[in-house]
Amino acid sequence: MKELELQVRLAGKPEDARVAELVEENRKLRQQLTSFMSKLESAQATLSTLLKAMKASAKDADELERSADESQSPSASSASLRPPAHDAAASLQAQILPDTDRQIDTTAVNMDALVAANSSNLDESQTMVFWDTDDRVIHEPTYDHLLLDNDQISAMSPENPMPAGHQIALFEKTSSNQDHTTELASLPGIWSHHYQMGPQVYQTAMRESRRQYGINTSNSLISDHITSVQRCLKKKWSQSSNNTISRYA
Amino acid sequence: MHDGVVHFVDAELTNSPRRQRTLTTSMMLSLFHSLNRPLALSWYTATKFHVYLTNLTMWQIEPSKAAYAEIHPRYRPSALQLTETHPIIIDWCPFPTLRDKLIMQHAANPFVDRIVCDIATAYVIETDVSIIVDLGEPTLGYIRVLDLINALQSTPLNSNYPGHEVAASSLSGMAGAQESEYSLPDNEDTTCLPAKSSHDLFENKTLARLAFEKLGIESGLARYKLDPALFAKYPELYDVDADVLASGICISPRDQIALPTAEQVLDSTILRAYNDFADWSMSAISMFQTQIR
Repeated sequence: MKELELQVRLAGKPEDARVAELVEENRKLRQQLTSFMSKLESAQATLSTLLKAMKASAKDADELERSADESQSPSASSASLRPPAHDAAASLQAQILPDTDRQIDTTAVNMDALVAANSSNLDESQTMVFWDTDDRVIHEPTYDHLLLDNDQISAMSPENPMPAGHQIALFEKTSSNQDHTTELASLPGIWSHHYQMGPQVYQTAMRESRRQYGINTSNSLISDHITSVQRCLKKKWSQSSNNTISRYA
Repeated sequence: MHDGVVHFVDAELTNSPRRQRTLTTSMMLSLFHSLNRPLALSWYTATKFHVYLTNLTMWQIEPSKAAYAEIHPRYRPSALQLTETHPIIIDWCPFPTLRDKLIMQHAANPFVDRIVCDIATAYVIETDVSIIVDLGEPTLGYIRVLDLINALQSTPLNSNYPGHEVAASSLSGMAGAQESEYSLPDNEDTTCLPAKSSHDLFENKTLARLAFEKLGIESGLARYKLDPALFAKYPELYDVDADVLASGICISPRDQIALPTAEQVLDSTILRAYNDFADWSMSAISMFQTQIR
């Protein structure tokens, strides 16, 4: 019933308003979830501390009782009533510190497949586009490949890095009049990270993004820089190898 | 122990083309950070992450079995990384399960750089924190790597720096960390752990240095976990099966900071700088190698 009521309420509103409302609802749900998680964390830490305190008290009581029993016997010892603090610390340390040499099984994949797959990412025909035109960059930079327009950027923030509204627009060229309709428009009420910002969206956006300096500019400035650094190095190494070969030929 | 560091033991290996390429790659990454996020340089140096990322980059440029073997296990790519195109910054996260989640949920997010930097900001060491701060009894807790590194700097915070949430000094700040500028009254012992309070720990560079060494942060990548606060901000990244969440109490300074992202759009000037710097570094390394032969 609630779902139907929601759909009826949303039906009369424009698309943008509906999306904004859903984003707001999502934000509130996230807040509730995070609040709940932090309370759980806090409760867990408190319980853990209580448990340790109770264990220590119980141990002390046992020691006291044992000590009292032993003091009545002729062979009573002068053993300490409390265990050495460093023993408890060492025990805790051993419990929580994993082996630093452990290997991560989830990353174990076939080596040949790794090499082949990664080679395709730096395909020579792609990497040389920029560098083959001229060894020096001569094009004036343009900035219209920024992924979001100002309104979209202002609607987002690093504190809340969830795009507000039409996420597919994040790769649209601000100078383009092309209409980028998306599947999202036909599926009101659906919002998921995977659907709106997952690999499919990324691939679609990368196909349509501006190709500049030999790379398709992306939603990640750091990635753009690192990709350029890698391609620059690959080219230099290739030149260096060729020079070495020709010298000894 | 695999520390991800390439060790060269003889002259032949030292002068090898691979060595030259490793050095060039490291210098190029350093240039990238210097131009785009200079305040992150000290963090990469202190944690030795520049070595891990150099080895990863080497493999990404020229994949081979030898290059793969040099990658720290935490950075070795998952099947998803190899099959789905994604922003390369995601590969810089040393948690495989998180990398997969980032690809599946944030590959197209325009703030993916911020998210990856937030993840790096959330690296913690989980330990018995009573060895660092006097709590009276063994207590499970965690401490952020970045908080400790920032406490080591000569100029820990600079809120005036535009576009950055974190400030760190030059590399000389690390070298000078033994000389504490902080002083307590003479009758207080400021030179040994545990610190009297978390305030003392983060305000006294000597104590911060001791804690940094005690926790083995420099070579402790395999022990890094994540601050639960990260998942409060990004609950969609949480994986109940991955043992990455730190537990216990948090030892933190009054003001916590975050690693900066890049602010500068790639342009022809920067590309030219990359190109020229690559020539410079390869030439310099080649000349040095010729001299020592």
